Amino acid sequence: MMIIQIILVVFFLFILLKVLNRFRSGGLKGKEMVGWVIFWLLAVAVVVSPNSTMVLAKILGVGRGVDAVMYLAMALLFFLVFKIFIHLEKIERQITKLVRQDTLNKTKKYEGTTRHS
Amino acid sequence: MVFIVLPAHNEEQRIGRVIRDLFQHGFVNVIVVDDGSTDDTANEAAGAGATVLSHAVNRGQGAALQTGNEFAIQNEAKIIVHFDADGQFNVSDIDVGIKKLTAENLDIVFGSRFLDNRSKIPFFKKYFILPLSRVINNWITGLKLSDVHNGFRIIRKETAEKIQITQDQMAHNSQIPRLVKENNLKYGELPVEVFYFENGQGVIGGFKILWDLLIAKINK
Repeated sequence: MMIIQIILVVFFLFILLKVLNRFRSGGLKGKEMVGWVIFWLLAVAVVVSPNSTMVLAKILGVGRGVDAVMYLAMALLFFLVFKIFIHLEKIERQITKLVRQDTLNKTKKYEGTTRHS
Repeated sequence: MVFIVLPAHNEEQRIGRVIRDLFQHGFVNVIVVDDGSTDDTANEAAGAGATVLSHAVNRGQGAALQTGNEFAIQNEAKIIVHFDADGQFNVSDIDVGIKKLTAENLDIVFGSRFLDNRSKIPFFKKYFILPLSRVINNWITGLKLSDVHNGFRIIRKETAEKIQITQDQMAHNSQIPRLVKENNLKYGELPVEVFYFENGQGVIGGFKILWDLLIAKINK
């Protein structure tokens, strides 16, 4: 086993641990947890046995297994970033709504402007 | 009842003068939406006699205008005027605009710095940035306006109820004309004077607006 494989496996197992911890503290739903556990276990499998990706490469018609994994990883990353963008936008709008509600509640009674000058 | 809505973010230097000027011209309902300013904007505005609504955190000019609109509607405004807090507009243009709104029975009046020669627009802005943004905006909004990103607007209460500004940042300047078009509202343009200071949106600001509009489109 090459050093890079050991580093990656340790790193992925560390992430797996994090996922399980988040699930236990209630920050992750059951379905999401299962999805992420499968994802990171697959990642470990690919690192331990790189040749296993040849099956995937053959199905997809890509030359090497590593390439197939790279393409999929890129696509997945783009998708996740996109999802985060959309989600952030939603949160921004919710914050604005909250801030506005708070502002209007604070100054509900309007008795006209008190002119000083 | 006419409500003047001034969205303000860190305008302690200029806002007092604008408010006093508005009072001198006989406008009594002056609403400042202090958009999470970190300076003394709120106190300056209150000291000058305006009603101050404070956003706990900064949400952008579009968000501040929507808050101002909702407050004005709640308090029985008939006409709402969007005006800048930094003194770049001429207060005497408001009366002319309100007369235009009522005389021509319009739903909304947009200010435009291109309809007369009063505004001294910087060269690069006049012949490059603004014409470019006009083409893009007319295409996006479907409304032919001579000056698309002008913060001077006079709207009826009914119009404000139809136009919900969800573009929190500067893209509201494009969103409002689009909503006017979608709701088939009657609009007009009013020549207004714009005084130039250092600040303003450059080309990067323009790209930010396009980006905001794109994200909103995907998010719909």
